[in-house]
Amino acid sequence: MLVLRRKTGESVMIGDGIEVQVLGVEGDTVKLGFSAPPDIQIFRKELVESILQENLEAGKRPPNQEQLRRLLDRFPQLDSKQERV
Amino acid sequence: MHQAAKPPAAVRTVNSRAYGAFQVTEDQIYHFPRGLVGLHEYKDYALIQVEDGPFYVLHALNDELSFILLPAHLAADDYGFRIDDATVELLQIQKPEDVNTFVIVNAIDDDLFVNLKAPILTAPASRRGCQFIIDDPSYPIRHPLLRKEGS
Repeated sequence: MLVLRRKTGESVMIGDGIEVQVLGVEGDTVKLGFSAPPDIQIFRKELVESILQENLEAGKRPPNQEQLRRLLDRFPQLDSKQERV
Repeated sequence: MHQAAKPPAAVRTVNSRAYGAFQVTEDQIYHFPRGLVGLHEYKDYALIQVEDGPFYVLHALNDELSFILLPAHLAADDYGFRIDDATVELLQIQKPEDVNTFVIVNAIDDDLFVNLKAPILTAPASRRGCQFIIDDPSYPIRHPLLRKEGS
């Protein structure tokens, strides 16, 4: 891991197109500004990790066809509104 | 498993522990260039409608990884979001009608939850797909279907 010290207003560049600027520091909170090409997605790591966890949970033991049929009985609103997408 | 009644011939067999071996046609195979969030190594999926119901199965072509999907309009009212240019480009779409939106279903015990925060987008024309993270804090990752208004 690369460690750099930066002051408020200073930046680091990641590759050609990604700039991360320190906008301010308050206590233990750092405010960062990001400039990146549109194909670079920037999210808080906790968000990405919680979506991954939900993906793993949903993909771990997906219901089989029989279970899906039973689920339909419990969620009739899904059945009645059925239409093809 | 739904078999397309239309002419396209089956091109692949998917061997699945959960659903057995099933045939898929060309138009059911989707490429996810970015994979799913945190699951970047799985990029090719079959998308099959489950017989007699609103559910779809998104099944990795070569792995035991699968998800149950619901068309988003069945899972939430007033569900709308803007997708960024990079995703438009990735999906090779021109207009909103070119893309279908699904939510991933998480069945926990007897309850159904859907992930409104990170839906699955598919573009039938390009047969590309992605999991898109919506930049809106009002959409939860685990939204209970039972508490859906009006149901």
